[in-house]
Amino acid sequence: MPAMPGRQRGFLREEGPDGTIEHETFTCCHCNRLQVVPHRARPEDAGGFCMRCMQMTCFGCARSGHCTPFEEKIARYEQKQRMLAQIVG
Amino acid sequence: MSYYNVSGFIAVAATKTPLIITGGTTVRPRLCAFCLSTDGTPTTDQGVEVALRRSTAAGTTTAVTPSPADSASVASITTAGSNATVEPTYTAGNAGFDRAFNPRVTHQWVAYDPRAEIIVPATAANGLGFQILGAGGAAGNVRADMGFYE
Repeated sequence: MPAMPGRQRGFLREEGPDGTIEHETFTCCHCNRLQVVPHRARPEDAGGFCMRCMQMTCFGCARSGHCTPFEEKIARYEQKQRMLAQIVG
Repeated sequence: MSYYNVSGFIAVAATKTPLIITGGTTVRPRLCAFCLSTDGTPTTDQGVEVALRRSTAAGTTTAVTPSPADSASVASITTAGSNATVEPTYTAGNAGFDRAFNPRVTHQWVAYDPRAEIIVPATAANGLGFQILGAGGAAGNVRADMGFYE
């Protein structure tokens, strides 16, 4: 697979007695899940691509078809937890 | 924003947590590197499965002080724990990372840039932990390191 668009890339290295295996990874822009890109994977086998975020997504988020950036999800979650904390005390 | 390292371990067994970090209401810790390995002589080559999971309660662990990469950094607000005797409460559903690897292998991940980092919400008791899901042929301890920004 060629260099991936977006800027959410990482690198996974497995170092063992039989040698070293290295993988590209990316972090889903919708759920923050780490995805490992298999060797020589075609783009469609690596995950999805969100045309609004212009970033890679995991298979689950690609299938859902919805675009909610993770930053937005996390902000909503924090707001909800703050409200709950105020109600419960 | 400062960078911190923490390390932890636990004897190999399923549903055990070697290392967990827990943020607070004022910080969003960002996991940007981790390393997983085992320290015993494996009994077989069957893979050991470890997942990175989101937690909402830290359980009971041995406290580990996050070590700043820059000695001039202030102490981290994020807390860390190793060798859980009471398992943290993990969020059901998708793990942040779930992978089985040969117990002879050292497994390292690093984010190239901030968008690849795994973020913990700024909510009390929320965090990220490694949980062993399957012991496989591993022996001894599973050792985990995390590097995070806060």
